[in-house]
Amino acid sequence: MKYYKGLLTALVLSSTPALAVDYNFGGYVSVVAGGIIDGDKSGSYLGEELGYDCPCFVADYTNAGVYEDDGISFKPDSGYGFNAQVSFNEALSITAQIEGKGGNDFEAELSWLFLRWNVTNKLSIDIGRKALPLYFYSDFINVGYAYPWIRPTGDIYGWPLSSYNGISASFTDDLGDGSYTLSAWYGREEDDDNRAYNDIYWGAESYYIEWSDILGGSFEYNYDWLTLRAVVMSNTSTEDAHWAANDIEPVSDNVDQIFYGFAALIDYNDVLLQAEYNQFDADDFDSKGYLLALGYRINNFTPMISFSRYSDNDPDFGNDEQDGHQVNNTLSYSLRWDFMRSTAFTVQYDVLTDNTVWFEEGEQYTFTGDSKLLAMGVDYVF
Amino acid sequence: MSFNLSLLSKLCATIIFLSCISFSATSQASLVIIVHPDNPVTSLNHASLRKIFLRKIKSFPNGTLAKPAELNSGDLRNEFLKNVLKKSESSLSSYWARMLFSGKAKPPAQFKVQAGMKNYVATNIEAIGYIESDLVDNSVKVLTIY
Repeated sequence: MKYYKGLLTALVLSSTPALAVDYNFGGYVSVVAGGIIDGDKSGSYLGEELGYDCPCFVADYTNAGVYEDDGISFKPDSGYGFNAQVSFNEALSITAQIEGKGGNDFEAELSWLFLRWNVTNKLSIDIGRKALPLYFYSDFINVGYAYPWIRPTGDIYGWPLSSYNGISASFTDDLGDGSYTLSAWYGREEDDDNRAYNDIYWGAESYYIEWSDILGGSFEYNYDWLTLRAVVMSNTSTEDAHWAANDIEPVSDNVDQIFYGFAALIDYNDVLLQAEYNQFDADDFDSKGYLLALGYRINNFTPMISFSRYSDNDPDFGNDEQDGHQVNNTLSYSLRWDFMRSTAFTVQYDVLTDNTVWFEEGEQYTFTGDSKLLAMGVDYVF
Repeated sequence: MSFNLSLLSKLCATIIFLSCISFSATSQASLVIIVHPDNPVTSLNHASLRKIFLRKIKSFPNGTLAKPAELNSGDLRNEFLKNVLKKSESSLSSYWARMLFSGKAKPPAQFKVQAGMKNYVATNIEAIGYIESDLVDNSVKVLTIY
């Protein structure tokens, strides 16, 4: 609803004759089908405690998109988005984006609504709702057409919140034959019913997350075939698990957390090499994730091999003697075929090795169990 | 000494003349980067051109806004992608999806024919585009020849 209100404001403003208003609309659709080929049938937390049909594979943490061992599913990796940009003049514009993901039953959500002020040709300030730019692909995480895989790996791209409300500034300038962008952001986000934490980790009635004092900065350098990026972000987090109307379990209260990340992308003579690393530290929880990917573009085909790993120390899933550890390794083989302009077909085979050790009420579990997933789909942008 | 010099200049003139003949004989019009005649920019190196057409940088080196334009299909577009942007059609298309859906920039204005591109550049002081060299007249200024 906020989206339409934003557009309406834009239309009202645009009726002022002195303004030369420029409209720009875009969108994307991803239709992906996938199925579990093989895996461990028993001993997983998702299977035994949360009722998933495992072996299973978490494709989209943020929206709880999970492939289960029950045939072919279109939901976990499919999605759509619409983007509208209204520019009032060179200095002022409003951008809105709504997106829907299968994991969230394709329900339309407002991921962006911000006012941009181009202070100079190098400096811009955004006020409103935007994507949290934690990872290399965060800004367009759901736009399948924008990357060579079916999805950026969940071993890195597994964040419970993906947007925030606040203010950000971005400065871009030449640096030799390349260019750089320096960005900073401050804001807040809350979610009454977080799918990632509730449907994948807690299994409560609902799960509340509030991030306040989000303060982050990033540096990105671009040269012809090279992109480098570093990011740091801190915030305080409050989380409550709602088991029933009168049964609210406070999980954390204003806990400080900090995130670091580095990424490099090389696209040289049709060789693609991508590396990304990130680290997350909270009170008594910490995690690390990385990705290494190598691909080679042959005309309209891009085959890739990717390896990613996630590991953490988590007292919530530990016992009296030790912390719990979620440890996942994913080896992926993918092939993208750009068969028409603005349209690509991608097929991907993922081999997930789940070395998770979790303790819950005296029992020891893995996370999803080892699983092998085959997925293919078409990504389109307009 | 003076004799040698004049011989040299005649030789040079002959070479230029011959190369002109061979140039017109094969009628290989080159791709030229054009701006508005009143645009104070006189030259741009390849790295700067690439940054402007990919909208990594929003302005000309003198700080004024740059509005790139591109052809939406055809041989000249293919040549531009190959020699100036050094990107394939599919990787360029992915690139614009990334820029658009991260809110960073939208793709350049697109034109179906070179006449439309030329007219846009001739009537817009911030514009930068490309056409074939044999369409150049005094309504536009050539920055670079490819």
